[in-house]
Amino acid sequence: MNNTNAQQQPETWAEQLLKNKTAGELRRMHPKIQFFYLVSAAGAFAASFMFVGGVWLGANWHPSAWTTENWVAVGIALLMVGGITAGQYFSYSTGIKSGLMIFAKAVVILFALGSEISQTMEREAETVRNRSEQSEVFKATVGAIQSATNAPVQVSPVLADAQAAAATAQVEIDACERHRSKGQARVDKCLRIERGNLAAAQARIQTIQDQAATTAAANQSTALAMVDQAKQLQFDEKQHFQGIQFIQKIFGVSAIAAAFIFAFGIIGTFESMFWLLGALLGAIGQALKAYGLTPQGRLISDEYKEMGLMQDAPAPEPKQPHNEYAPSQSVGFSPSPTLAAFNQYKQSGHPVAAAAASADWLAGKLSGSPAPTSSFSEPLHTTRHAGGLTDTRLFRYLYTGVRQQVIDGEIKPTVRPITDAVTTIMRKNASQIGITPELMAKPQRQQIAESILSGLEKEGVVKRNDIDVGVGKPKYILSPKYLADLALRSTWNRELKKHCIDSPADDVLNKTADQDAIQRIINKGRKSGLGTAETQLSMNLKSSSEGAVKPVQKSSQKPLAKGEDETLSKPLAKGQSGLYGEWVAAVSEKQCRPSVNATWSWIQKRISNKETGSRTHDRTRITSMQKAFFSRAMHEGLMQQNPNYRNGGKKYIWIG
Amino acid sequence: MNETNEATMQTVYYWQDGYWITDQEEAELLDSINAFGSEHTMLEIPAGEDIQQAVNEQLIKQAA
Repeated sequence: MNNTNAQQQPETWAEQLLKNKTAGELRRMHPKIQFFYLVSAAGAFAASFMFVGGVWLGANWHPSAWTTENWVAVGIALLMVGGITAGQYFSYSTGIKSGLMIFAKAVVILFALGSEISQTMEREAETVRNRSEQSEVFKATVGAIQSATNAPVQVSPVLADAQAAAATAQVEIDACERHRSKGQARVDKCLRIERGNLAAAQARIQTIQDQAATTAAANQSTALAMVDQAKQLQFDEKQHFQGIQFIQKIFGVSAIAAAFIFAFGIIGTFESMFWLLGALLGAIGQALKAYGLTPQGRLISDEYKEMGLMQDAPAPEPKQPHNEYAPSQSVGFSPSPTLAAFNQYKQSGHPVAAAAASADWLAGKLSGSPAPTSSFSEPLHTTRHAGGLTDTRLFRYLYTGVRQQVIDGEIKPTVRPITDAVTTIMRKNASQIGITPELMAKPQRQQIAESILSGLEKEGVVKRNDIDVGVGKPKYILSPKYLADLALRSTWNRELKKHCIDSPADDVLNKTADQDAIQRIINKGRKSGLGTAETQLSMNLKSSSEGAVKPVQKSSQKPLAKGEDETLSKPLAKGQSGLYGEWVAAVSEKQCRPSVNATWSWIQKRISNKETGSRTHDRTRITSMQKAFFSRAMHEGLMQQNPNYRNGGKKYIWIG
Repeated sequence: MNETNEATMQTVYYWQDGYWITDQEEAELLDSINAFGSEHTMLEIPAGEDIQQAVNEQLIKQAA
């Protein structure tokens, strides 16, 4: 079910980056992307500011000519556009996914697109205007208009002659009285003649003036037509960028619509990349956080410490049921949940900070309480049904592992060996816990070691070394109680080992142990009143109850069939262990490869002469046995499926 | 009543080393080759109960 859900939900960018990039690569990518992100933000700011400022200033971009009102307008535009761009800058990289955030992003994106597209269109129109005004046709038209309108007013000679004739006739009319001496008839004749001349002259004048008016009207019409033409030529649609003209022709839209599409293409791409850079930056930040690093490559724990938050970090309270390490109910094992563990691990935040918090929690939890029931032998892979490791469980795992080694006297309770033990545990179980020591800097591991030591001290496993104080002397020593246990167990270990019984319990060796010898030791322990052997047995059982499947030996074995091949195995010869134990030993000793075919053949060879006759071990049954062996081996953490399996490669890896 | 009991109970097959499975046929097959050094034992427990814990309790009882 979980797998189905996982398949349905695509991986986030941060998850994909975690899979594809190392911490170092991510850290190196971050500043580069941040630089271009800042550049993009500056570009977005400038474009939007040009638009808003242009609208408010009326394209008056000459500060020397700005009035107080203009300066105020520019200031408001700066603040407004700055705020909007900041909204874009921070919202893109937050990684927050909520309805409100989507709405906020949509608003700022719409504003940015609107303002920047408008500004782009305005700039392009300005270019068209400049190109148009620089064209020869426009210049010629403007020149023609100027010629027409600035032509000097000239009086026509014909009109002048007519006016002169009219004037002469008027003078003659006034002088007709000079003929009075010759009689009234002569005067009348003079008046008639001159009045005729005057009328003729006036008629000519009128005709000429009418002609001039007609010509002027025609010229005016021509001039007006030229002005209209000049207006069109001043913003010539043919002067648009070729790209815009192309869009215009292809889509059959107007020039302004084509300009909008053109601008949308440019600004849309820019805004998309701006958003992409921000989102990528956020994803890198998340991925680095999963590595326990800040975007600057510093340890988050250091940052927490500087901020004084380390001690106050909320201690994650594990709420797992007691049987969290128990096998799954139906099968008994399932594939290692490396990726699931990794996902949960990285989603849990900074491991060291949380681990330190866990140490405090653990220390508080364990202080004055009985020792934890879990043990180092607790197989991590059995957390499968829990879906993977949380940081708390990672720390608990490391803590219990180291704790057991300290109690067993295998490592000294000092920082260096505990750091080494942490490293070893992480390396051995990298596939299960989803993190390798290389992913965690040594100071971080040392910090974990210090946290573990602190927890062990509070738990009472170790105490301050007040006796042997000095440079180079251990700061902590095992507490007297555990020292006594160690001595006692050491005694019993020696006794058990005499009988080829490994202690602490070992899956393989214990299967080969002499069960009668174990029983004798138990009886001896009972008689002596120490009960140590019982404790040993109980310890095994207890560990087993925690999910770590440890062998609890009991003397009920199925007798082997007669005619058994003596070369099969020594344990089987005694009937102390089963075929599975033999196979585990064989694989551990590299006498059998942990592959399907090799194991199948191995089983087939060993059971071929053990058939009871009641049932034939056909190929299918042997395959079922092989699968059952693999199932148990994986359940016990001895082998796992190869996460890097490819055709022809190893499908299973032996990790026992 | 019986049907209710069957529905609320589950059967597991465990060995003396604490290992258990839920498939009877597989348990018999593994016993047929003495896979785990002992013969399996059948245990019925309420469904949903911690199987490993129940098996461990049985083993402790047997060991006592």
